[in-house]
Amino acid sequence: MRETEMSDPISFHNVSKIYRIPSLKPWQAIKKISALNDVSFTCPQGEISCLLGPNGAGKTTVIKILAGLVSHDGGDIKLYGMPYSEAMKRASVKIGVMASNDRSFYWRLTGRQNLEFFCSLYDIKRRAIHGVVSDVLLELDIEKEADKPFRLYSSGIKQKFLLARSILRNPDILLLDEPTSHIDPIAKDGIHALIRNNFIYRRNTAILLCTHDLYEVQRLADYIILLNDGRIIAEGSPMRLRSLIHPGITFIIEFSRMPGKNWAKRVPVTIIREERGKVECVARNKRGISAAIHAAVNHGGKVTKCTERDESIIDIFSRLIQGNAL
Amino acid sequence: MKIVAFLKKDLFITLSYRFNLLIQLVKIVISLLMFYFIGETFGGAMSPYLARYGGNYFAYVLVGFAVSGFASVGLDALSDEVRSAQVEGTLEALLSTPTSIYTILIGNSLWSFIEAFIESLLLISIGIIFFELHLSIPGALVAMFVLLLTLIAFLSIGMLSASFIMIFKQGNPIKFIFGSSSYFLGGIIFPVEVLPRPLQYLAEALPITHAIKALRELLLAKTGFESIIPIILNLILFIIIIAPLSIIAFRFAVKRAKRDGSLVQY
Repeated sequence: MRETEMSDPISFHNVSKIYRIPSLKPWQAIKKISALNDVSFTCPQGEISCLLGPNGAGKTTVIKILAGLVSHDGGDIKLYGMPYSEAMKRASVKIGVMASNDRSFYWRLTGRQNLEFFCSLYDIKRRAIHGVVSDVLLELDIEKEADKPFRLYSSGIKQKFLLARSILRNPDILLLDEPTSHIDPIAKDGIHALIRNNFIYRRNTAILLCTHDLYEVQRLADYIILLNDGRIIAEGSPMRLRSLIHPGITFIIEFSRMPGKNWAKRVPVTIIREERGKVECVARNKRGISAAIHAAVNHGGKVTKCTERDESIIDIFSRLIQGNAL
Repeated sequence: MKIVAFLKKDLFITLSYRFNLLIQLVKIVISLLMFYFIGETFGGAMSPYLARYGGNYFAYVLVGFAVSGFASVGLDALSDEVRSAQVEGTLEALLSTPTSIYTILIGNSLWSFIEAFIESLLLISIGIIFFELHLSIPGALVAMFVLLLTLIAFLSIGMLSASFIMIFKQGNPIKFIFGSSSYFLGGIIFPVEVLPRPLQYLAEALPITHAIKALRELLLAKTGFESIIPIILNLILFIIIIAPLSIIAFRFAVKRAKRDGSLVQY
């Protein structure tokens, strides 16, 4: 767990949430499902913290609690050191929520009319609304589309309007719930660049990203909170999570001629996989890599290439969820 | 400010369905014509129940419809708006803004009230211009006041109904009970006096019965404000009992839906 500060934008301390699901058969008791179980984490300013987990892990529950749509049963939630309910009552903390549901817009209205309507609900003064909307449209490069009915937009543009709505009041905290779930890879890259450049570099916003899109995590996450069955099973920077799986460096040596048997017996590396012409190993440090190459050459091997393998977030995710690394 | 934004939004949406506006107008004209011809058919044989109101059945029904249209919007609008915002998916976005759920509820329904108010005015104006309905300026003010009380009474029932939708989503018994009984027992198309005695007692418990009676006294029987004071007091009594109850029920429903995570489910 990372170091916490009193004034962190979001701080969850032992938060729990139980859903009561009534049975379809009236004579059966209400079923209780624990959606969050003693969940504690913080999100600092100017970072993208990512809630990652499979379906039903509790990610959306966290977002909904912060958006005020679901109440929590136990634990403390603080925003900038202030109890959540107090911060919301005073409206002293501005939270922007980007849900993935484009049906949350009025499809008969234009994008601009939608944004102007939501500006009023965000208490933006009537005189300022036009300027705020124009600025956001320009920032997200959707000004040309603004006066068409929302129903005519492509999925990528709809997604940008969802993002536009969430930043209308220049939020201190931005909650992104699967922000690129319905769009193609190119549009996805565009949204990722926008999030990183505009909200982290330019505005220093605290972002809580909730996704199960591992590509998105790889592109955006500064810190990963891995949830499974309502519990945090691991957290840390992508680098730290990698080290939980392999406490070392994974590398692949390619041979035009394979070395003799037991070539790696006396070097400090572990062979993970051996295929024809390729060997995948883990070494504790860089010295281990050069020792392995020397040993292979000394055993008659002809090395053509040696590459360090970047453990993908997909490997980390699947191994941690399956409990392989812990 | 927020309420104006809701009105503006609904105005734009209504204008985007132009054909629907025309259909609504045609529907009003058709129902007016239907009751006009019923009135013409039985106009010769004057019912003793209508004697007090000038014996004109069409004018009698016109006032009934002017009030019932307005009352049914009060009853339906809140729960319908909650339900449609849940189904459309806009409720989550609205609730994520710093706007109270009451503002969202009233703001989303206000356009329906305005439409119903215009429809009621249109019906009464037609009655005044073509069918000898009489309305003085003080009478018009009292009529407005009665309509306002009717709206508050039905909004209270509507809020109870919305509380039900918030938790159980469908199969709303409050709407069914008040909606159908108001239509049947409220004296919209026939006088309450023709009903059997026990049903007349039930009719007395409905706010619409008093609202229609008050407006008919003002517009058709041409009585003064003093004679409808007891009827207005009945409406006020109904509001005093139901309004706090509906606010408590709605608060409970929102709290429960937040606990169950079902606020935006349908």
